[in-house]
Amino acid sequence: MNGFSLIFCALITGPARRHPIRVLLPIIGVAIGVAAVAAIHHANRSVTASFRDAASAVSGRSDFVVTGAAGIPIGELAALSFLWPIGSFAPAVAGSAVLDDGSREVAQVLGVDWGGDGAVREVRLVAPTSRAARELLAQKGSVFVSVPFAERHHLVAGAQLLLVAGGVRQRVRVGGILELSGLARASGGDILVTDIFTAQDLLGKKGLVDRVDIVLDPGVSRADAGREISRRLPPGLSLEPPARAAQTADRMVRAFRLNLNALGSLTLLVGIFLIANAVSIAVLRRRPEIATLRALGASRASIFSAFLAEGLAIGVAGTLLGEVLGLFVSRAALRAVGGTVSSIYLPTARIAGAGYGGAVALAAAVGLCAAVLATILPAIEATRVAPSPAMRPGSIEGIARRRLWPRALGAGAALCAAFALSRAGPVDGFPLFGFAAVALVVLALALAAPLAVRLGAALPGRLLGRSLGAEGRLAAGFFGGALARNGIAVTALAMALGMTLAMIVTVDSIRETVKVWVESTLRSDLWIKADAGGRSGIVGDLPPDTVAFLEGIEGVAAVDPFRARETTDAAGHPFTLASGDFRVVARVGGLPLLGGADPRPVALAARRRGEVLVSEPFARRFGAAEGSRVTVATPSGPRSFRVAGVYRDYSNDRGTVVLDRALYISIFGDPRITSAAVLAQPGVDANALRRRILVLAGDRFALSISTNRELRKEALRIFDRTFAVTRALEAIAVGVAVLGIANALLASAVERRRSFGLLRAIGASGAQIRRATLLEALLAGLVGTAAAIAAGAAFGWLLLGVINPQSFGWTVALRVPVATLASAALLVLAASFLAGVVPGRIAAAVNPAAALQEE
Amino acid sequence: MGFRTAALMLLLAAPVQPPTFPKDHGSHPEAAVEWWYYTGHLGDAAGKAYGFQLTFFRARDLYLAHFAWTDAGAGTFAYDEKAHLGLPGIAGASETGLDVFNEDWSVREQKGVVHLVAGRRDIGRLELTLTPAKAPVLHGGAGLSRKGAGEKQYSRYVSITRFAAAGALSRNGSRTALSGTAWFDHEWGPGALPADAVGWDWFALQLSDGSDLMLYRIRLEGGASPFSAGTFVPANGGGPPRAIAWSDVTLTPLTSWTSRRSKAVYPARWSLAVRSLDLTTTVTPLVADQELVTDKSTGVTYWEGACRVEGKKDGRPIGGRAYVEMTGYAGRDVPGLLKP
Repeated sequence: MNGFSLIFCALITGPARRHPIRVLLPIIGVAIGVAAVAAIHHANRSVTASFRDAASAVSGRSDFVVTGAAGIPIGELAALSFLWPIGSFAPAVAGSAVLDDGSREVAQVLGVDWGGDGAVREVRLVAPTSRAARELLAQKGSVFVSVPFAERHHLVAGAQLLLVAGGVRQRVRVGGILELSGLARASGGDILVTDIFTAQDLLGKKGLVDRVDIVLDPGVSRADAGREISRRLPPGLSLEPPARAAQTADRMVRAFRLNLNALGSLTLLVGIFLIANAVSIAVLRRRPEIATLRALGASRASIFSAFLAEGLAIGVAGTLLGEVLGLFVSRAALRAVGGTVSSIYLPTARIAGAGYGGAVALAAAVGLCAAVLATILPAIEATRVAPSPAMRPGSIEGIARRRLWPRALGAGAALCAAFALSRAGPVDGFPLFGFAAVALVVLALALAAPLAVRLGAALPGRLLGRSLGAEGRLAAGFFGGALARNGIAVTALAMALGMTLAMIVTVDSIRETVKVWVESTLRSDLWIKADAGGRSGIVGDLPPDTVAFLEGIEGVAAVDPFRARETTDAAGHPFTLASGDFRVVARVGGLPLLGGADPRPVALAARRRGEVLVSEPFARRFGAAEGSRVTVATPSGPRSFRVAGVYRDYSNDRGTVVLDRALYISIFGDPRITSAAVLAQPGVDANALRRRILVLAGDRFALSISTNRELRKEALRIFDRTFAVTRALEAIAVGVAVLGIANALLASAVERRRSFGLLRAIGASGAQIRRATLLEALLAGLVGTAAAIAAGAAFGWLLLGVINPQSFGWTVALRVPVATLASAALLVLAASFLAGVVPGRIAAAVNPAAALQEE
Repeated sequence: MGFRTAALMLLLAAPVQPPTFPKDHGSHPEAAVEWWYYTGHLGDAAGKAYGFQLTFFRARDLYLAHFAWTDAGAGTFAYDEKAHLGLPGIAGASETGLDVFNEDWSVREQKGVVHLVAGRRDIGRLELTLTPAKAPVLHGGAGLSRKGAGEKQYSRYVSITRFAAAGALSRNGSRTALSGTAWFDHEWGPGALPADAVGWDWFALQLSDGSDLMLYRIRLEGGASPFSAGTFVPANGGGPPRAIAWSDVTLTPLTSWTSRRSKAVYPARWSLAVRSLDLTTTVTPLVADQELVTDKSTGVTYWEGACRVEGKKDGRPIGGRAYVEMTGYAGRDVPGLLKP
């Protein structure tokens, strides 16, 4: 056995074997952090990769994609015929359908040019035999499905498939089964591939295609061809690289993904503090052994290496455990994230698990780096132990005490820097500086924590001392005597709890704001959309004659048809283009303007002058304001509109531009509607009216109708679901932090065996010592909670005032849910008090004679 | 008398609307299947012989096209195929006159002259102007050509058996001027063949005395179908076209050629005689391999190529050119005939 392993055995392996729980805790801490990082990274990567795969499955080998402001009128394809000598082009009709076979799943519908499409996209027929299939291909009304889709829905070639598409219940025939490759991989195989004409019929897009993919022959210059195509494209059509669609989809959910990332990092930060905590405790604990070893000739380097090795060992063990844990957590995270993406952003998006390897590697790197980082400082402290066996434990605390004020100054500087950063704007729509400010607040917290511990021990310590006698004074002394260790534990708790409190305030404020907004905007009695299989989102639109149908129903006072379509600005930033009947707004209001002005005359004036209204997120994102102009791509080329007003909107974080329906139809020639709001005549019961509409709709329209109350409830339900992941992460972070307090206290208890022994020897009872330890735990919890409230205020301010407006574009009225905050704080306090139970029992059980003999 | 026979008799008894031109050179969307078939024999200034085939198929909304180029001097044969739905700028056919296209291949009639464009980068771009040398011929009486006894086993069939062709093949910047003759077939209808048909053979002979002969033989499991038939088109001024009954024809393969691609064995030379015309000929391919394997479009494997004709008519030696199509040698499929 060489020297290093001897030292390692003496300092690390031995103690670890004797006190496995002390090693286990940081391992669990690291494991949870690593699992969170792996799961979140995996979920995020899966979202991006799924978008990219879906887009590339649809764009195939395409060099360019042509899209139109309101679809591409099929006659305009002729403008591309000059391409044939140098390449090919393949038009496609895209949309979605809800399966009406009991599964209520959503599938993408893609209509292609059979035969010619092979130049761009590949489909491989599995069944039936190719000759028979070709005969079916020539027939309209056939769709082709992937093998897994066919298996799941028990479909064979020739089977009938019922679906809701374009707001109408329809029946198609399964023309054949496709291998899960090429185009059939789009939407994770949940795709109905059919011919252009069938897709147009199904989706109500007569005479239109949605995209044209262009593939150039080898050797043709892309740049030259691109210029030539752009030159020849009719107005209203635009040329883009095929990756644009994936980028746009990715941008739509970016704010959501980045916030997930930030929260995942928080969990890991708590993990880092736990390791630092564990290793510094180990260093403290083993000062006599270190001194002995140094006296026996062990070098500083070998001591340093031994502790670094311990940190690494904890890191490795924690990482391994975390990776295993991550496997399970990532599945849940993927489901949660995928559910949010498809229910809120893109109904046909299928988030398939991406390769887990990247997440494993990243989480491992992060876990090990965190372990090393967390270990370096305590390990350096260990090398400072002088080679004298008489050295008493605790002198590291002396160092901490001396550095108290410089650290506090550092904390102040960090806070000032955080404030300065919070003034900076977003970077490409991402509140980078906002998150940096959060990190600086965490740093300030870490720097100020020992001071907080000291103040905590001094102020309530006196209070406790007077009211609780000897035990109180003891507890205060215990607590204040371990500045460094308790500082770390308090930081971890304050950080996790502070973030949780801030999130509680943020989420609650947004929720309350949304609730008020929903109540002021939802003035209609019924809200009608195409049957989306019970989903809260929109799947497909409704035929234009739905409006006349609804208007003709007895008991209906007014119908407000709403149209919403996703579009992008010239730079590819997504936003929603919508139309509504401004006359209805002028009559019932329901569009709260930012300045608080009455929306009714504004809507009427906008209708008269051909102006638009934009949502608050749009205004923030694209720098629009009342009186400024916005440019929208239209079938006759880009058109600029004056902004008549900015309205509050919390339903869409991409931003919305709303035109009056008459203006929209005259420009876009698109009479279809996305949803319709119905006002009932006075005295007509909404539920009765809904039943009447559904009966009359019969087989003509496949509608989903919500009453006002249901819609309000649904809006809040969607909201809560969006933040479910956030809440779960918060809970994990707080749990880890409470574990940290338990760990610190446990270490203290073991470390103070001698003191306990002495106390017992001079007459303290076991019960007194246990009470003192419990009180110390309570004190740690109190100081942690107090620091958490201070940090939470800073975090909350950053979240509500900087990060949220920059990433979602919402103005939120602050609301402090005192009861929730108090109960969260109390819960943590109670948890930290309980964390003192085991250390208290250990402390009380000290045998005074044996403990004193150790000296 | 069964229902089918009754229906057939009604159909046959119904007066067939005679086609009107140029409208009926255009598309007939009510017909399930339709095709426009151009073949021709060309020569350049150096006396080298070439053959071309350009076929546009339509099966409901699906548009298919084949182009083949035979270079007799070099002994080479090349072809290409296209398949699309009927979409603007991609593929389609006018209903008012001859204007059919698939990608950048097209045939369009302007003022009685047909402009034909087809090609492939490595073959070259063929541009021809076709001036009709004869009036349209209606096969099978008023242009209704029966392929079997079944209700849907017929097609409307119109030909212009001789055009004067002039134009050029451009390739990599070089241009070869070409001239010669061409032949046009246009069929539309339900497109069904008898269930026991295994394939068919089609002959389009342009004889040196100015007369033309079209013959098709539907091969059943047990031999030639009684619905096999033909039309003789005399030289201008030689009287109206005459229907040829299959009983009048003797067709004997002389040798065979085996395709390495499809393993199909095709007759390679024919002895062809029509008693009523006092015509005996030998039909010999200019190039042995003129086989098309069309996996990307119709999925049919067939042989269609330029041939030389030598023989005797009315006791005098006669020569000529022919295009011969042979299907069903590589399996039971027939071009353009997608089952309804």
